Amino acid sequence: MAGWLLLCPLLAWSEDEDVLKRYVPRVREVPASEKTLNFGIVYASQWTYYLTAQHSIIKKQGSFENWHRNMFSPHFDKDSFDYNIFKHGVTGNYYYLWFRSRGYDRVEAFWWSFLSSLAFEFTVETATERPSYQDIYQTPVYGTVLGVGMEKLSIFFHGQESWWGHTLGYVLNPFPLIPQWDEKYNFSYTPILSKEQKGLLVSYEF
Amino acid sequence: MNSRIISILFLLISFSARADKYVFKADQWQKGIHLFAGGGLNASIYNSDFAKQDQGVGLNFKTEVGYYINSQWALEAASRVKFNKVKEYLVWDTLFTGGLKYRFNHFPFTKSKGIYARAFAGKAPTVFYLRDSPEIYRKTKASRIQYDGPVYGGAIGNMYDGANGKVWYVEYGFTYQQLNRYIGVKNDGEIPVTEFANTGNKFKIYSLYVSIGLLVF
Repeated sequence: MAGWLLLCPLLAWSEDEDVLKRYVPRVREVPASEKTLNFGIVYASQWTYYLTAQHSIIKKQGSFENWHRNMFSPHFDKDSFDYNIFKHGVTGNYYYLWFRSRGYDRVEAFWWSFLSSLAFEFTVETATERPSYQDIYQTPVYGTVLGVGMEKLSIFFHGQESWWGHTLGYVLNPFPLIPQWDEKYNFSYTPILSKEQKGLLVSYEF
Repeated sequence: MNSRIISILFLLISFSARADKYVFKADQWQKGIHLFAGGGLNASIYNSDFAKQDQGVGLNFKTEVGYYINSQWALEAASRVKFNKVKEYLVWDTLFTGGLKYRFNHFPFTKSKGIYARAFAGKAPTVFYLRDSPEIYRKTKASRIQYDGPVYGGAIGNMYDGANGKVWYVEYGFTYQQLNRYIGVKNDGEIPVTEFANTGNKFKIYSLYVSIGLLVF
């Protein structure tokens, strides 16, 4: 059941050339400085998530000694399937979509998802638990399968050329809202200063 | 052991992820890293303390990440998630395997050049959910029992070139799992806690499966 749910989005596709041109990620040679920045953003997000969402567990079980010792003792975890399949699959899906939106091809996005997953398992989460072989495999692999499907589904919805289509498209894959680092931002702001009122008019085109 | 596994992972990363110029076809595999994903059905026979000589039928989800060495050979890391309903238990297991894949240029009784065989071995955490079995739940205080042990298997399949350029496959396979250790697990909030552990009982699973899937990249 879980697997079929992961697999179904793979079948969606939009054939409209204009839609493909506008919403399919532009693949390019990403410079090393951008790769460092892209990975750094993921890594910072992982720490932010871990320190906030796992705060009570860190307080209860976490220690610097664990953080160091656990790095060298990966194992097969005993989590339930909703964690191991769904939550890790969805997380991997966001890693994959993030790297795709930065201009990586599918294979590169998969490898960087894999590295991101390793970074979390071996250098973040170890304060409270040992790295898990299931997570090391499943996060990037299921994430990529789901991500490929979500990207296609998102493009399909954008292809409907309606407000609800674009909304759904960005809900499924929000990262194209952030332009690639070599693009101009479609962002503008205009200060409004008059005797009666003061303000800022902000617009963002997507 | 652990450092060896990590070394293999980094060795795999060091292979060029970039694909050759030609595209992957059913009868002409493209050198490089490729990912397949599919789903299907499986039938299993269980022999354990909790399910003696029982049968189960269920769904599965299979993924394979392979380094395709040339047009005929590939090294692969794969997982197959199975869900089976065996009497009152939900059984969930994940077969993590490494193996070899070989494509036959000629195969008896067919002109297809997409026929391939896989041989694999690995490890398979197998979980019995006990929630629907109040008696065992009361006795053990665990909400699930997780087994652990080696898995061996083989498969034969056929790849096809789809009309829209997609490559898809149908695969038939068998697996043998010998699970030697088990732990009883209950959740303390979000944290899984081991209630008991045992290494004395051996537990075997024989499984047949069929899977249909696609080349993701």
